[in-house]
Amino acid sequence: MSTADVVVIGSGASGGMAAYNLTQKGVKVLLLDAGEEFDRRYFWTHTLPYQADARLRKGDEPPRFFLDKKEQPYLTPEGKPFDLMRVWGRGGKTNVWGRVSLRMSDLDFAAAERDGWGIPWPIRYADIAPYYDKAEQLMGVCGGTDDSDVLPGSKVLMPAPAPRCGEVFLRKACDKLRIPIVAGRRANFTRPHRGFAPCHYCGACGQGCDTASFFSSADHLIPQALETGNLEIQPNAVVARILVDANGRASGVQYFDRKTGAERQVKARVVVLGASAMDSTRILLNSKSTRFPNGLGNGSDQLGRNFCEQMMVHVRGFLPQLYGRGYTNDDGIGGEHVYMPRFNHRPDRPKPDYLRGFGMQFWNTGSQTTGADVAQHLPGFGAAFKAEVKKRYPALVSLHPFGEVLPRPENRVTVDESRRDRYGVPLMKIDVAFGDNERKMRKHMYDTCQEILETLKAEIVPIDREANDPPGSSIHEHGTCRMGKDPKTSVLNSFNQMHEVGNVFVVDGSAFPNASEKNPTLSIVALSWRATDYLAEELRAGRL
Amino acid sequence: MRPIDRREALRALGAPAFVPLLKHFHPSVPQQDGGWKPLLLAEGEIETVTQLAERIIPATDTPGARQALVHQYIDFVLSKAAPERRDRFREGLTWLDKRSQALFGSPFAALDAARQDELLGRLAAIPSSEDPAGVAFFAAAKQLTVDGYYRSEAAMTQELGFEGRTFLAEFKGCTHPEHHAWRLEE
Repeated sequence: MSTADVVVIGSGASGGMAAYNLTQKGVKVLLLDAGEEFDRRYFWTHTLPYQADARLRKGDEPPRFFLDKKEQPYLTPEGKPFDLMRVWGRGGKTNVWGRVSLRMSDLDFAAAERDGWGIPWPIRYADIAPYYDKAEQLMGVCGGTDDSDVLPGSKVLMPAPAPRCGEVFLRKACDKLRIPIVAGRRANFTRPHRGFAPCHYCGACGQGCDTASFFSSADHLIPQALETGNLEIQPNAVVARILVDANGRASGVQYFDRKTGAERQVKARVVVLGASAMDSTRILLNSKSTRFPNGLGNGSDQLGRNFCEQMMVHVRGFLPQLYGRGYTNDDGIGGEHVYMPRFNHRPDRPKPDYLRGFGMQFWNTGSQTTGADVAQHLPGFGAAFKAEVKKRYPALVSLHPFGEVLPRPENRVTVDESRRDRYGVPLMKIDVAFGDNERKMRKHMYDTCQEILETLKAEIVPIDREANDPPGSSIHEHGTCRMGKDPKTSVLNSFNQMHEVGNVFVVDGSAFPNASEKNPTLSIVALSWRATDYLAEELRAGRL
Repeated sequence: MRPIDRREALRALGAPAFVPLLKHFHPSVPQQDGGWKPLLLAEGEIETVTQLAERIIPATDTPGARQALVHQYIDFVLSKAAPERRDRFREGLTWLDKRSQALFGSPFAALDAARQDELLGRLAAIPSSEDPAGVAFFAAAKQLTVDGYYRSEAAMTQELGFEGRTFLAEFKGCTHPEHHAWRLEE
């Protein structure tokens, strides 16, 4: 293909949706994917830990979903670690994602208007709501009938799976504390969906799904795009730069073959970046020209800045009500079957001493993992210790608050001209630290977890209140290519189109002006759908 | 809830494209047998590790660490570990023998179970008055032991009765009326 109508970079939630939507509309798309297809014949989904050990000892290996940081390094300043998880291959991170599918609301879209931090989104819930409807339907999201100012409802959800024992108790505690708790919303098919089998409740979704019974771009977007005949995929294409013409418009894409290292260029009328937040930002920052000396479309100096995500902490306890009950199959749909939406803004709550909020997830509650998850938290050794582990094995409850990390201009991605990757392309540097707001919110997170467990008279595993997961751990990177009304403070307009380069769209998580406390994939899919509807119309009208 | 068997799963899933793939499920892997050779640790170290792990999780009415081949797991994990971690662990084994010699006049593996438990009890005490390096070694050895034991076939099937990672036609969740009826005290 010498000139594609649209070159899409990345095949995950955002790039996959762009390819899916555009090809259905008759647009010719070339998809540049940094890896290859993952072969589900070799997934280790139903491999028990001891079987995995035996296979590993024989030299067998599970599929390598996550990119080796040695192959594609990134820089961090001394003492400021950042844990970047990337999946380079067909479907990207949706192969192994957490599947939590939460609608954002005007609490999130208009947050900056209320508290003055950062910039508000250029869209409101009403703009994206029809796309949430379509995305949830396509993605086979299961959930309940709840509908709130935090978590708007849906009419198209599949039935929620029944709660596990520990989740029944968590709900009672939250009822007593007047903290709403709702059915989890996850893109696991609890009914047959679009010709695919329903979930078989093995709980090993993190290893990939044998039956494609949860939403992934590799199974539920790309094959459908290929069926249109309008999609061509170039695998192992590691994109370095967007090329620009004399008029400052994108003219094509430069990439390197991951197998041979050979440089390639491809022309394009329109470029859509969906390479995930950090890599799309890296590509744009490396796309320097006389017209754009600081990176493509970066006249505002906002590209790479305003990084935001979620901060997580983890609290565990054991429910005496469940002691000694023996093993229960708690696998279910993998993660928790209940979710605690943000509640700190409610009128019956004291006004927090920090901005924004947190929600809570409860993965690994019950007998979902090995006994080591219990044993490592108990003191002692010997026959009595062994008996204590067995007694608590069905009784584990795990609390995982996710709190919004504020966007700050100094939390940023840059590229370092003096350090190059294997293709000679400048490496990205990620410079991120949490601040006071996150530390204050962390205290509220721990207090809430403790309150819930104390309400249940649970045995609480000792808490280190200074602890939180390091930056990057949420795997929800945002903000570095944000959308907004004002080209001076944002990079993209309300349709994910660059203010300064009309034929470049960025449809991944980097477009979010703020992260919210919610897992972002549903919103990414909905936004990419919306942006590419607009793109296709602009293309048809001859404006691109 | 009832695990459905593989044949039934094939019918239930009814997706021909996936049928050949199901052959790859549950590969039957024999336990490592007597022909096992350590990848990293020396024979003497293996003996110490085996005895140490067995004191942490002894055989009771169900298998302990020795029968669960935890020493093989620990040797494998350490063989893949960073050099510093390996060295620290091996130095810990040396420390354990020295401390054992000082207290009881014999290396750890030559002690009877009661003496072994006495020494480990000193290391497990909170707070412990033992050398912090020894306390840290015990914590590392305990973590490796519980990781290895509870992921073993012996522990998963005989000790904890794990029946997950399977095919279920339906997930029923909590089916215990007493859990649903349970009320918080006012």
